[in-house]
Amino acid sequence: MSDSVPYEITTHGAGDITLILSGRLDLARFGVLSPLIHTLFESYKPLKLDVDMTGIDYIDSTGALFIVKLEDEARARNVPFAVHGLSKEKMGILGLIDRQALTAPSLAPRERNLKIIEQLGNSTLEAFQDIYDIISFSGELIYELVRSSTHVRKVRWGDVVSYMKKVGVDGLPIVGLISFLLGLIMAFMSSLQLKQFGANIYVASLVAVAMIRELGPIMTAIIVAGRSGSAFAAEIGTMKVNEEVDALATMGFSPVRFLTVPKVIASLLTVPVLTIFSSIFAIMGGMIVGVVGLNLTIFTYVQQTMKAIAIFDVVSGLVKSVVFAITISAIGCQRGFKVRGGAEAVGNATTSAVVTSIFLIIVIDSTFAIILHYIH
Amino acid sequence: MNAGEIFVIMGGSGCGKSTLLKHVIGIEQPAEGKIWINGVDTSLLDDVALRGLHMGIGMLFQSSALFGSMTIGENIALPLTEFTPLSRPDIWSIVKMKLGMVELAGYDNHFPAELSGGMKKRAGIARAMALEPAMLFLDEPSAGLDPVTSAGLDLLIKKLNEGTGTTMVIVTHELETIFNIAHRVIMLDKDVKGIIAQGDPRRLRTESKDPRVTDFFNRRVTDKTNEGTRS
Repeated sequence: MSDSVPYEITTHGAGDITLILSGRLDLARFGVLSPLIHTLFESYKPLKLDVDMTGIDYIDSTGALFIVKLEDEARARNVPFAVHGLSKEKMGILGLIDRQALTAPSLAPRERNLKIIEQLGNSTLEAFQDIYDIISFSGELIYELVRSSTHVRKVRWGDVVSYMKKVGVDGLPIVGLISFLLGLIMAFMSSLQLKQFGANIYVASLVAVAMIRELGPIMTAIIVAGRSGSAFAAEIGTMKVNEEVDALATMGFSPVRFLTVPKVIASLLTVPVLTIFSSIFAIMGGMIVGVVGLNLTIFTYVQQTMKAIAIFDVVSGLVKSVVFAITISAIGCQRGFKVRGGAEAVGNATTSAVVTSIFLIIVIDSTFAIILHYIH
Repeated sequence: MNAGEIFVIMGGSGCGKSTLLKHVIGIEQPAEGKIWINGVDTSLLDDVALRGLHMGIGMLFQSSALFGSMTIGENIALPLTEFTPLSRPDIWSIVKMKLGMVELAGYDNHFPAELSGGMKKRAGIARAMALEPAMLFLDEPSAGLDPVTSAGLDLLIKKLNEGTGTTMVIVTHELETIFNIAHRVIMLDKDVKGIIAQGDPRRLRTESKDPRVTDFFNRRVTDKTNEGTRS
């Protein structure tokens, strides 16, 4: 009897089979023994089955499961079955196995796969529900912001300062670096084309106008959505899971005023500043290309940049950044409040906050482009 | 600890019961002292050897720590899928058997969020016992449960211990649990930062001369302002 095959089958007369087991009857051997049940009844066709467990040193619950399954199979085939040689101490484990549990149907059957039309219907309903939730949350947020403006002392200014640091100060290095490289790349790529026409000087105008009007606000908003919008969703989502939001509500606080208003105010104050920094860093990146690659002087580059910048562009860029700031912080918080369940739901809320924010940033920017075209 | 016994680590809140457990199962490393498991000094083992050693240990966390994104069945099947070469039907027959052992037959497709606190603890025990560990550690198994559910869980722990012979180490300060199931206890004290009593809990309650032990067993609060006591 080898260690890998811990059993022996002996035949006594017609159909009288004895299965001799020895050593350890445990989880490690279950994989070897489990197929034996089928083999034993199909190949040996027993009329009576005895299991000799005298040589068993150790049996765990998985080993006991093998014996129970063997017995169930024998009963199903009307084969007399008996177990011998197991000490009373080791027999106890067989009593732990609930035979009915082995065949018990699931109390919560798995949901059937939905047909495409049902999936489409569900997705549509979810999308409408999502729009409804966002509008409803926006209404509540606007009410709380207006209320906060008339009860300024009720605003948690300590939290506002803390979030300003998280969104603004901590976000500045990455916003600066990405904008600087963006300006550098834009200047380099445009210089390759403009050089052919001797229009090197317009590289400065191109970088300045593109950044201040469009890319500065958009790039900053996307980075803030990735950094801070997700953090807001995760923070509030975790508080939901830990019932901290419910605790606030039972104490009489408005969770939206307590948790969302400071984040929105902080974003409102810091995102426009980050946007200005973003444009400055991009112009500096473009200047490197202008000075090193196009032989422009710093003075010439700055002068051309100033000439290209219109006050209308600066103001429209800042107005956009304010709208982006409110959108990102509000969506981040709204997604956090929607969390139900555990860690996975928090992860989903975080992803959803970033994706929805970026989508809305693009939609808002497109709307601004049309409106500003007619205003200007 | 003796093989096959239910060993309880007890003591008041903040005395380091759960911290001691986390050190033994290797989640935290001791700043001082050493831990031996099966005669092996764990400080001498590398990460791989330590992981192998810990595979022989099951753990029920205070919050049950079931994975919320998986069904109860998938939670129990996870270690079997990862660490054994068993086929899927074999794994699921073990899962159903384990669920039956903890009296949760039929709950394989439920998600943890759909279960009550007591059921989550039972499911946590089933997952902890999936790989048939020689030792099972339970951190505050009765925490947050009503007395009836708690007593039911005590009975289950006792039944599993007697049936499987698994050594069980339980951290608790629930006196009912201690008297219901403990073969032996040690009592920790946060002022001494160590063990102040050990032995059979029933004998300790009646025979101990240490006021900290008798106060604990008799639920007596020492009023330190005037050195009086109240029950």
